[in-house]
Amino acid sequence: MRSIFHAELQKAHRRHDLLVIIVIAAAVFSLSSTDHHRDPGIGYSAFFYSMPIMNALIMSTGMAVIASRIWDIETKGNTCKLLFTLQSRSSLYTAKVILGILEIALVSFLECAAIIAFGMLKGYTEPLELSRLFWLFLCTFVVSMMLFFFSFALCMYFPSQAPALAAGLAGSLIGLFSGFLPQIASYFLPWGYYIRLSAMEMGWDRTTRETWYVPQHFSVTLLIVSGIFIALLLPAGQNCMQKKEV
Amino acid sequence: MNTIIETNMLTKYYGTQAVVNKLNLSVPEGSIYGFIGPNGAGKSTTMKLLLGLIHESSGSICLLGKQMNQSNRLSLLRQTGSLIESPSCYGHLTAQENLEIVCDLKGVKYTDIDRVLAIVDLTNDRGRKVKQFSLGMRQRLGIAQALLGNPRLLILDEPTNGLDPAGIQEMRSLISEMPKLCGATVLISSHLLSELEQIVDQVGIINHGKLLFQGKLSALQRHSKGDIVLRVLHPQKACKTLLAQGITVRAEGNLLQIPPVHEETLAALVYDLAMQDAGIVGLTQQTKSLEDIFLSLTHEKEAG
Repeated sequence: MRSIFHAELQKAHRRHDLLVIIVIAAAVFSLSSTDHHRDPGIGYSAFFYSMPIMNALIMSTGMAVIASRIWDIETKGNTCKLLFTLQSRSSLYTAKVILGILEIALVSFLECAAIIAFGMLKGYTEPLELSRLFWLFLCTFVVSMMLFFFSFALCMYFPSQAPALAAGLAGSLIGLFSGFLPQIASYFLPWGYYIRLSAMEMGWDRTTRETWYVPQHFSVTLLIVSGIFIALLLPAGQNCMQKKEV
Repeated sequence: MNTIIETNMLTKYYGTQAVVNKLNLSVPEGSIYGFIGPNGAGKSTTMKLLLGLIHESSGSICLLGKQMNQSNRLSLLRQTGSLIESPSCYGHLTAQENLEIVCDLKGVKYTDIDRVLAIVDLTNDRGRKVKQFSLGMRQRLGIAQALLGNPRLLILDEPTNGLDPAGIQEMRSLISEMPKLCGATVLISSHLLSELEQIVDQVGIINHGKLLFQGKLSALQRHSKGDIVLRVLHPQKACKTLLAQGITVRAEGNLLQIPPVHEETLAALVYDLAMQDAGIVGLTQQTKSLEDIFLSLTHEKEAG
């Protein structure tokens, strides 16, 4: 498996995957930054609230891009008919999935690291709750993985990457608007799980137009639901690859 | 002679159409086996079946002396090199990097890269990105990938497709040297008999998924011989001589067309025509097109 993963890393050479990851993380971070983030007293809370929303908007497309790029390399090179004679399809799938997971972990890490760096730069006085930061990382990572596996399964199923990218774009819109739906309805829209898993809510006073942030309980159940989706999508993608005729 | 590939009633259906139909292929070890058929005959599908890229509907495949199944497929294919349709390579990587990936997957040391690059004459281009390569160079890189790890069998599907005449000649000489250079048996497909005639010693002809002929090239060449055309100065005299010998003649001006005959008979005929002062100025043996061979083979099968 080591040599197979090494081959996968070799293929990624000169593909600027790192740049794509940085662009995704930077897009989420820059869109998450609002006026509230300039207030040192509530800066971290503001990020814990806004970042999941921007994740819902960006990550579905971002994950489709990552999945599509990982598979596109084989489509462009017409390499499946060579690879399928050299390695088992499951090993190819596993190697690609591991690469995808590493990239997702890096995006999630960069988002969280950016919060810390920004807080230090702006001299936030609000204490950083590491448990909330870790929860943000975990939720971003798990939900993104779920969306990545969905996109990757589509890449496996269809001969082109267009359906996966289209689904990613649609997912971004669904994800964002799921935040406006009643809670129960939004549970059926996994693209919006970022928002439902958020550990921070915003409260506001209609008369004074004052806003504040309210810490929420960690929704472990929904995180487990995401895990169940992953457990279903992972073999589905593998099954598509097994059946792929080239 | 041992067979390196043997298929038994190999069949592949797409929908209700049998693209490969009860194929019994037998490729002797050490040979260059030409797998010939028109476009859509089932050549590529057969090769993909041999490589496990698609699953057979029925029948079995014996590769390198072993019955191929899911558990031993990869170990058998690691002793096999293949180039199916177009070369498989990563355009953003160099030739060297492409070969390193194949080495990783085949479990072959990187040192083997020098050897295969020298064989395909790409040593000086090893550091260039493949997207800058011409199609011919890509095809040669594809052959280099196939040659890594000294495979016992090479499966090449129309490797000269899209190449210019010089590229075709280059590829042809490269393939003809394979058994000598690496001791590999070569299964090569083409839709042109003339393209493979110079390099193969065994031939299989497929059409509509069925194997019409399989055997030595010399045996096929007997089928491929067409009519003999004589150009004479005195056609009437020539016709009289030929008809007297019971040979059917089709005359068109100075050209007389007679069915193929044995070389000894032909020599005797030429002598007689010369004695009768028919004035022979030219003699050509027509070669049947692949389609004509198919027709004659099909007719023979039907008659048989």
